[in-house]
Amino acid sequence: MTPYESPKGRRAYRRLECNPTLKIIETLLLICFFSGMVLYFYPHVISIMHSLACQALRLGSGESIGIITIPTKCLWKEIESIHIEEVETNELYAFVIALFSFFVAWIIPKVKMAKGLSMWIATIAILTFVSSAFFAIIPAKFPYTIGNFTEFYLHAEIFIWVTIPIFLSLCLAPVPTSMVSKTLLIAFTIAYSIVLGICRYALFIYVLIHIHFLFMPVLFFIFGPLLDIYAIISLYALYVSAYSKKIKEGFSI
Amino acid sequence: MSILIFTLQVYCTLTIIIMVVYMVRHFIFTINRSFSHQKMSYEDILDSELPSISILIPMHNEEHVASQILDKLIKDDYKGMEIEIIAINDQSEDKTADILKAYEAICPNLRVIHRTEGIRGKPAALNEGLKIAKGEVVLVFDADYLPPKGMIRNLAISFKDPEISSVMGRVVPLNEAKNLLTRLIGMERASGYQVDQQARYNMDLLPQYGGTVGGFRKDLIMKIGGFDPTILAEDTNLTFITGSNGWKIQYANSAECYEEVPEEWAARARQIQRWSRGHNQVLFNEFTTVLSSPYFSFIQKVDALLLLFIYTIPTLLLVAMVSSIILFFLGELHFFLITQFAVFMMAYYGFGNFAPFYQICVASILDGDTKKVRLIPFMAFKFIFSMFYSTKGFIQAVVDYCSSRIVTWEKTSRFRQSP
Repeated sequence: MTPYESPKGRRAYRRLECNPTLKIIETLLLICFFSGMVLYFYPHVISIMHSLACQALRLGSGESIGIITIPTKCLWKEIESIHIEEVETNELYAFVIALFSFFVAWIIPKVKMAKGLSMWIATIAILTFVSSAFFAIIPAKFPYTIGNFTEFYLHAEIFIWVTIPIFLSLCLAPVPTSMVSKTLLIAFTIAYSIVLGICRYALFIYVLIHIHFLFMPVLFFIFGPLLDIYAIISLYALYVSAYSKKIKEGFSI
Repeated sequence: MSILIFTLQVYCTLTIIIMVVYMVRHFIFTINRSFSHQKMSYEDILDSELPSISILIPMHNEEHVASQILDKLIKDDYKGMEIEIIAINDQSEDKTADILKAYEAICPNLRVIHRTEGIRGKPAALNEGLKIAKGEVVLVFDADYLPPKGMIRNLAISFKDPEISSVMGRVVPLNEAKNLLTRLIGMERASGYQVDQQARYNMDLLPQYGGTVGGFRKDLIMKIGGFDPTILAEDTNLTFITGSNGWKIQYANSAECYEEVPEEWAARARQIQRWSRGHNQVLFNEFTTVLSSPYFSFIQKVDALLLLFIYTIPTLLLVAMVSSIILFFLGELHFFLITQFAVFMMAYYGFGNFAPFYQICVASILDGDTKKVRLIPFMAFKFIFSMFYSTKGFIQAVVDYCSSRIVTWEKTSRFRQSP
C-alpha cells in the first residue's frame, strides 16, 4: 500500500459480466416461453386440479357431499370450479373463535419471542377475530359462497402461474448463471406452485365446509397468493445460493 | 356505501401504482449496479494538501464502546492532516464521562464537551461540537463505529472537489453473525449501500448522507444555522437541504466502516420508529423545497421525491391492507382479489423490508456472501414488523408537525461489552 492509497475494498466497485443484447434476449425468451406454456395449458391443469380436489373431498367427507361443478370464464377459456350449497355457519362456534383470537392477539405481544414472528401471529389472530366477530353478529350478511371462493382462488392461482416467469426472469437477469439452469428453476417453481395450489385447493374447501366459513379471509389473505410468493422467493434464494461458486468466478473489476 | 367502496378501491389502486414505481426504481438500481460502469470515489487522488478536519462523536451512555472508537481514531494514520477529535458527552449517566476524561489526558488532539442540560440528542450534541470545531470539514461518527485505518483520508479527500457538500461512506455490520435479526439487517445494509447508494451515485441521483461515516463542510452547515434539534433525522435533512441548493453528495463505497446493529427486536423497533419519524419530519419540511428546486433535473427530482417518501410507504401499505380487508367484507372480492394480491406481491417485490429481495441478492453476490442469500425468505418476518413501526414513526411525525412538541431522542441500545 502506498502512503496515500486508501484501503479500498475490491468489492466496492465490482460488477458482473454481461452481454446486454444476450441478457435481453434470454429474459424475453424465458418470459415468452413459460408464460405461453402456462396460458396454453392452464385449463388442463385446472381440470386436473378440479378432479383431484373432488376426489379428495369425497374421500374426506363421504360420497354424500353435494359437489356442484360451475363453469366459469378465466381469461379467454372456460374452467371448472367447485360449489357446495349447504354449508352451515355456527354462531356459537364463531363467538368462541372470536374470544380465542382476541385473547391470542392480546397475549402474543407479551410472550417472549421474536417480534417479527409474534407480529405475524398477531396479524392472523386479528384477521380471524374480525371475521369471527362478523359471523357471530351478522352471519347472514357474509357476501360469499364456496363457489365464489373457489372461482377467485383459481383465478388467483392462474395469475400467479402466468406471472412467475415474468417476475423470475426479470429477477434472474442480473444473476450470471446459464440459461439452462434458469429455465429449470422457472419450470420447477411453476410445477411447485401448481402442486402447492392443488393441495391448498382441496384443503381450503375442506376447512370451509367442515370447520367454519369464517376462516375464508385468513385462508385467502395469509395462506393464499402470499404463500405462493413466499415459495417463489425461497426457491430463488436457494438457487442463487447454490450457484454461488460459479457466480464468484464471473466477477470483473 | 358505494362512495366508501369507490374511495377504498381508488386508494388501493394508487398504492399498487406507487409500489410498482418503487419496484421499477429498485430494479433499475439493481441492473445499474450489476452491469454499468461504476463511478469511483476520490480515494485514488494523491494530494497532500487536505482540508483541516474535526471529527465529532456524540455520546450518550456509551461506556461499552467509547474507548474502542477513540482508540481507532487516535491510531489512524493521518499522513500530515490536521485533525481534531471532539467527543461530546451528551448527558450520560454512566461512566462515559470518566472514560473521556482519561483519554483527554493522554491524547492532545482530543477535546471533550460535557453537556449537562438542554435538549438531548444527536443534532443538539453536534451543534455543541460545531461551536468549538476548528476544521474546515466536519466528519461524524456514532460511538459504536470502528473506523479502519485510512478511513479519515478516504472521506476527507472528497472535499478537494469544491462542488461536494458532504460525503458518505459505507456502513458494514460488525456483529452480523450474532443472530437471525443481525443477519437480516446485514443483508438490508449491504443492499442499501452496495446497490442502492452506489447506483444512485452512478446515475447522478442523490446519494444519502447517513449522519455517520461521513461528513460535511463546516461553513455550509453554519450558514444554514446548524442542525435543527427537533428533527430526528438530521442527516436526511442535510441531504435534502444541500441537494436542493445545488450541492453534490459524494458516496464513497470503498470507505467501509463497521458498526454494531441491534441484536434484539425491541431495539430494532425503536431504531426503525426513530428513523421513520425523523425521515417523515424531513418530508413535511422539505417536500416543497425539493419540488421547487431549480438544481434538480426532472429525473433527479422524481428520485429525490421517491427517496423522501420512503418511510411513508409502509404507512400507505398498511392502510391499503386494511382497506383490502374492508373491501372483502363489503363483498368486493372481485376487486379485492386483484388488489390484495397485487398489494402484497408488489410490497414484497418492490419494497419489502426497505430493500427488494433481488437487490439484496445482487448485493450479496457482489460482496461475495452468496450463502447468506438463503436467509432471504426470513425477510418475511421483518415485513409486518417494519411496516408497523414505520407507521408508528409516521404518526409521531404528524403529531410533531401539528403540535410543535419537543422531540426526545431515543438512543439505539448497545450490545457490545467493554474490552
